[in-house]
Amino acid sequence: MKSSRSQSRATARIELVLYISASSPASVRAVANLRRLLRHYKRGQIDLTVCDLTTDPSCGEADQIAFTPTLFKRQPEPPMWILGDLSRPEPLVELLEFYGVEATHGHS
Amino acid sequence: MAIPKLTTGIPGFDIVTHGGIPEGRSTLVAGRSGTGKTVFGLQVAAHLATHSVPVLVVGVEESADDLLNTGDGLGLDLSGLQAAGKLHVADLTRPMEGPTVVSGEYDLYGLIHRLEAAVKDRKVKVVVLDSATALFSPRPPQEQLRNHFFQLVSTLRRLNVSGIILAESLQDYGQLTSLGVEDYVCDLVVILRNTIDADRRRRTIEVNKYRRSGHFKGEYPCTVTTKGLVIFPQNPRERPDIVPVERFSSGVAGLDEMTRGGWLRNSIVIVRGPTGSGKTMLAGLYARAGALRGERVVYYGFEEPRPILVRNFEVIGMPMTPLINAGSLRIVCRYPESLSLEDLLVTLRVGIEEFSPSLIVMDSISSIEHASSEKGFRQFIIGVASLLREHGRSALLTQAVVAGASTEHTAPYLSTVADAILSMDYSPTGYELDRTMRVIKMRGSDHDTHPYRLAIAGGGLSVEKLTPAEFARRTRSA
Repeated sequence: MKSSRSQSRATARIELVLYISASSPASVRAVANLRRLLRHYKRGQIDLTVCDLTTDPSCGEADQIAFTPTLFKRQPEPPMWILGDLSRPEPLVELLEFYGVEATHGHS
Repeated sequence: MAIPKLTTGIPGFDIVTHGGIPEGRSTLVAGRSGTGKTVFGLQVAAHLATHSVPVLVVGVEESADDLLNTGDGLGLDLSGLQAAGKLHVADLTRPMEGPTVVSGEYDLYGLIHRLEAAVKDRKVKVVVLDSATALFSPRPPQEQLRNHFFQLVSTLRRLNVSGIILAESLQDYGQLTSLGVEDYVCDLVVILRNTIDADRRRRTIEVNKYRRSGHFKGEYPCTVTTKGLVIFPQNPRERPDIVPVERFSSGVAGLDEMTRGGWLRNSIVIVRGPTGSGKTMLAGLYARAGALRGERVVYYGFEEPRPILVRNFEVIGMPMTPLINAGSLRIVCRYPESLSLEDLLVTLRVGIEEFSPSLIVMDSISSIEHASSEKGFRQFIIGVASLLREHGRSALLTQAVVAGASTEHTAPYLSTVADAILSMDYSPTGYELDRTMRVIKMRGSDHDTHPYRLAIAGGGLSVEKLTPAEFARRTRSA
């Protein structure tokens, strides 16, 4: 039972949306921090979209976005909001590990 | 020069703020949970949207659907306004099951870009934020929080949008809001309170500050009705039209002679006297005479249930039922203990607006006094007077005092309110009750200040002037 659940977790697709604003320095840092972090993981399981609210202010409506940068985990349920520039990577690392995303062993 | 303002449509609020909220600036509405902040925000939103000022409501505490339902429940028709494109709701609620964690620095651009878009695409002029407290949760470090809030308010100002920002307080008195950063950058700060005063719930509103504008100082009673917040500014807004001197009969022939032709129109008469002095009868005659003249009259009885009051009038030869059936008289009986004074004021206001009576009787204000704190009663009386003056109505209020004390000093707020004071009294020493009546004061009219003998007979009261000798004899025997 337990193993089958972690099995399904491991194969679950993770849908992430990074909401940013081009006007915000923290957003620019978040983009760089996220790209650097994801380099350590196999990307096959992860769908990442970056939404710039400067060009499309309404794209964050459905996900209740008030702050930038916000990394929003849309799938799997339940949703999760990670506010901030990811200079503290632990919340995202924990999330990826929870869903069994495999680390790449190559150096970056 | 007066600053530009937007009216809110909240009864009384535009009076205490000398015209409403500041246009293009931000207003902070602070209060504990349950003080009516959301109701305030939705009422203003509906009022402005109805008057073609596009409004965006940003809901962080409650979902868009819940806010719309709350508004519709208050008869504000937010759904209709939304469908008509006059009101927009942004849902920023985050479901409880979805956690929010912090991974570093962030800013408010998500919301700011949405505000910019709402102004550009939907011509939004007013933003209601419900609430700042929920928006800034999880709460960032104080300095960052201050920056975020400042950024929000300065964005609204840059966009020339009037902000109505709701914020939670932890207590009625003390630090204004739990975040503690909002009031510095808002031009108008309003505090809503919901306190207990002498075992009774009392809601008040206070304008804490208003930059570049005058306003009423101190706390004013308010209440949340089924139609929203109502504030009692306790400031008589005099009707601008000059009222010609007009008199009407008191229903008691001799009394009309004492007052040289009857009570003055638009005056408040207070009748003071001990129990059994005939106050209720006098009040009934006042109501009956008015209704028989074809006026509309409301009689508020606070002493006994309606059927008993109506029956008692019937028994003493003053049938009220035909007048009630003819639609010229309304008798409303309430137990003051079961209503808050604010609700009672709402009852009176609604009664005046719906039935439009020219005469109002309240028998007795003492039963209200006994069921409230001194401060609450004083505010109530001033509220009643404001209401009567605002609408230009005449009223008769009865007040119970101990026997022999009916001509004694009246509480200052009562004598200020009364245009005329009539004392009814008796001396119980003789074989018969020696009843007397005396006009203590009557503004704007000559009147007979001498004591009159009063007789209670079937169908009415009769008065007759006492000679000095008779009066001296009575005083001696008393």
